[in-house]
Amino acid sequence: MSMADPKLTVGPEDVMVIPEVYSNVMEQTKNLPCVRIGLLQSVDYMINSLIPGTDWSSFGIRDVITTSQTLREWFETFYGKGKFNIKTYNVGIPDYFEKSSAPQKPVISVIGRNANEISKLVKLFFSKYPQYNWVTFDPMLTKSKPPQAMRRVDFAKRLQGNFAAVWVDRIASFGTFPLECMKSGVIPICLKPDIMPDYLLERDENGNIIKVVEGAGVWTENYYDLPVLAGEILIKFLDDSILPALYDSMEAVASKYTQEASENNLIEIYSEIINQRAKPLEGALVPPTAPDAQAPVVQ
Amino acid sequence: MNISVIIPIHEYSDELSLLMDKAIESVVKQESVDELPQLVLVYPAVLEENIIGFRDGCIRKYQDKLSEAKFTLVKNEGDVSYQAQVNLAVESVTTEYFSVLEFDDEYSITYFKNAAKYVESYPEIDVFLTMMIEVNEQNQGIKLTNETVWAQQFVGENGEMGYLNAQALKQYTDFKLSGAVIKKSEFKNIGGYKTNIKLAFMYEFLLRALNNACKIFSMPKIGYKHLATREGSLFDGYLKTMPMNERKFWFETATNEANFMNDRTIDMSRLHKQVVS
Repeated sequence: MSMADPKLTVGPEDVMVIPEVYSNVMEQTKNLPCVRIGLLQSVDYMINSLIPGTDWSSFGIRDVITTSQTLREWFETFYGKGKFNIKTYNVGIPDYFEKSSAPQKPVISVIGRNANEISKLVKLFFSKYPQYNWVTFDPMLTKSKPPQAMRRVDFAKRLQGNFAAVWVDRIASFGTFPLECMKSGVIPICLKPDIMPDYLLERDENGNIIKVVEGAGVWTENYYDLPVLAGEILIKFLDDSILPALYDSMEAVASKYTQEASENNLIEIYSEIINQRAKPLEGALVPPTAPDAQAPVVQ
Repeated sequence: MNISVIIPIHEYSDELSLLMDKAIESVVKQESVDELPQLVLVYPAVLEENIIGFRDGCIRKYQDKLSEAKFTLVKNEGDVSYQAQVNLAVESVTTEYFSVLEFDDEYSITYFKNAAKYVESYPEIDVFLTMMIEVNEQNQGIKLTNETVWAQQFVGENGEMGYLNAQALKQYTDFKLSGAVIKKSEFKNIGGYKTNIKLAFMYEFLLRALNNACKIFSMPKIGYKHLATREGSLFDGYLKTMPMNERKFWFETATNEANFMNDRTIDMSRLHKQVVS
């Protein structure tokens, strides 16, 4: 695509992957001759960008890539089983999320989508445990003024030094942060989101859920349990009575989500897509791009 | 770990020997340590017979862990104040680090495992305070001590969590060195405890250490149980007999004396001077 003349020209040999939040792009590109794939990572972003009664098939999209079996099942429940060709891959956690060689600090990382929920649970923690009023809750932002989000590699470095992390994200569709914690040897204390993270579910060879994984941190369905659980884990940390089995379980769960496995998984998916797309005949002139292919500039 | 445990003993009775036995047990029953620390018992000369008897009893009780060689007995023929006893015992320490275990206190069972981990991770630290739980005689927790350095508000915007700094220490003086892992060389370099300072001698030592660029860190594990209210203990005596103005005097004096390396004679006249407004 030329920067001077930013018109998108695509042919049948091209593949366009469109994240769920860009339903407008799905609509704008529906007449393009290329292969178009919807990428589903967030249920909320997807639903928010669709008008009632539509789905991605309204834009001619039949191929979907998503990040977990749970999301696949959710998608099929609401948009029809067999209607879409769905592929799933495992999210990979980069290797720089690793255990610290230095002892961890009595600091609790706290991550959430809703600032009010975070503030409330911190206040409740200090009300219930006034003797621990010296404990710091780390919002995982830079120390600059104003605080900013950190680069992911810096985030990983900060995270590994804290002994636990509270996570409240009701609308998370996958839940990467608890996995980052598990890989870093940080105990995640989490409110179960509306969609159960895939790594908490153990499945048989047919994909049926057989049980909930134990020891992948501390999970609750009740928001008001979080400050209490944070206090209980803190006491165990100070008393040095956290069982090694908890760290072993966390490591076992996180080990299934390596970056290498994720990349291999994606290569497999994209190779399959690329191999299946329409190929121009060898020696034949590639036809000029169809008029419709001159899509509006993508916003 | 290359460490000795100093146990200062200034009195002895059958009742106290039970507490001393628990203190020794807390050392003997440490988890995941290759070698137990050397035990340095320091005591007034008049108690020698009792202490030898106590040591022999410990060897019989913990024969698989303790032998005579594990004990260093330091007979004190001079000043038997807490500070003087510790200073004297440090002279007999042959390890890089030492820790003072008060005879009515106990280490947690993972204390030395953790201490080794922190010493390895932070070799530049001179004094590792430990979080301690202070209990009453019914073994009920009263408070945590040495934990406040983990509050960012306490160490200040420029301070680092976990590290004690002089400014913060002057604002809040209640830090205790019992159970701390102390580098022997630094303890001696800055002159040890001052016997002329009453009540606030640990505060004075810490402030002097910080004034001399020592690094002091609080291990965030509850590694020590301190019996705070024992009848007849040193601080119980201060609590019961020392008036508030004298306590204030000692903390103010300690703040000033921390600027001096030597154990200067304290001018007590200021304490007794009537202030007329």
